[in-house]
Amino acid sequence: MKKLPEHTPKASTWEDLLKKADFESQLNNHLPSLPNFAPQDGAWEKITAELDRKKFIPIWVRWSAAAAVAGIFLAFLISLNRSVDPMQDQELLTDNPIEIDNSAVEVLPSDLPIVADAFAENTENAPFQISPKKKVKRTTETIEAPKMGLPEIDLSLSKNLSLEIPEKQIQESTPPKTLHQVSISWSKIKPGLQVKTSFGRMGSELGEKQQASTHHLGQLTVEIDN
Amino acid sequence: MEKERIDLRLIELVIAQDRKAQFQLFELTKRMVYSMAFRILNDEDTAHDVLQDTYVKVFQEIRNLKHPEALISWMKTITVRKAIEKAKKQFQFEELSVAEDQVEDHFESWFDAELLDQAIRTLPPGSRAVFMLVAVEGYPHQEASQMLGISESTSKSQLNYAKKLLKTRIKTLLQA
Repeated sequence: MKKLPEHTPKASTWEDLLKKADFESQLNNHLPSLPNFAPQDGAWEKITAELDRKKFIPIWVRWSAAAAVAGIFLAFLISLNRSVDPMQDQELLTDNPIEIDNSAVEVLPSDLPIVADAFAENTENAPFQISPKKKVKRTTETIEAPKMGLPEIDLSLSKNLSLEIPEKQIQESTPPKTLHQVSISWSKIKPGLQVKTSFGRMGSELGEKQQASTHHLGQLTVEIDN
Repeated sequence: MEKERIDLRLIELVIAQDRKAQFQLFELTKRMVYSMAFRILNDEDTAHDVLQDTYVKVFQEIRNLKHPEALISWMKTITVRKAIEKAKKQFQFEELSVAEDQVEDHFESWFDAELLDQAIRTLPPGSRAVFMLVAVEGYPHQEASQMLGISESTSKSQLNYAKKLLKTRIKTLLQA
């Protein structure tokens, strides 16, 4: 065998090896290839059992929820009917029953025998009959209103009377005094708008009434430079 | 590989509540789901509970999945959330100074994935959860902190703390 010539590696080979031995680089190389572990054999059976159990529960929950909703709806309807019926009774049983004049409608039985018989049959076939005791007697009592009369006045005397209206002395209305002074000037000397009011003045200056809006008090000066 | 084997036809059958298709999806993804749950929780029984809850939720709500191609990442998110929900009481997050943790110790050792996995499982629950979410699953700190109910800075400091601990644990495992 011939001896092949030997070659020397680069001087930085050892340093490169040490760099590869760096912790971070080794970590990054090995993390994707970490060993995997297998679960126990019975894991799938447990999962299927849990899936079947969870399948059953929703059906039961749905049925119970539907029953609960139906119950609430029925209870609401019953309560609604109970709350409506007294109102209808109150409307029917008013304190002031309307009198119905049946005199014009009254018909002799001999005139309409067929109808009367049919009515009798209907009343016999009716699910319940109104007992004569329970029949409401409609009274036709008339209540006479008390006579209301105006006091008689002798109008003969009033012919000579004249209507006298006492004259009231109307005081001449004095122009209201005001402490507000509004002065408008178009001079160029005092530019701007100035409003002077009496806010902050002493009570004696303002008078008894201390309302700022009263026309007796205050002084308002408005100067507009044109 | 799992992504390649889960085709849209299978997902349609799973949506139609076909039990065989559901079992096929379970067989394809069970190791991924269980391993993630087990690494976060470090407890077999709780990891099995998480596995069960995850698949029940997946099969019940897969009809609401708008993008079927995102099925795997959706399942991972469900797994992570279920695991956090199960073990939230175990997580204790201490505010650590990031500057102190960033001081790297000199590390000149070689390790493989098996050793790294052992070291991850020895981490404290809080920092392990942050490490799993951010470093392994690739969640950004913002999302991971929201899922764990911590601040973003706490998430960052916990990740640095986990890496620092991993170095020492790997060294210890190598020496053993």
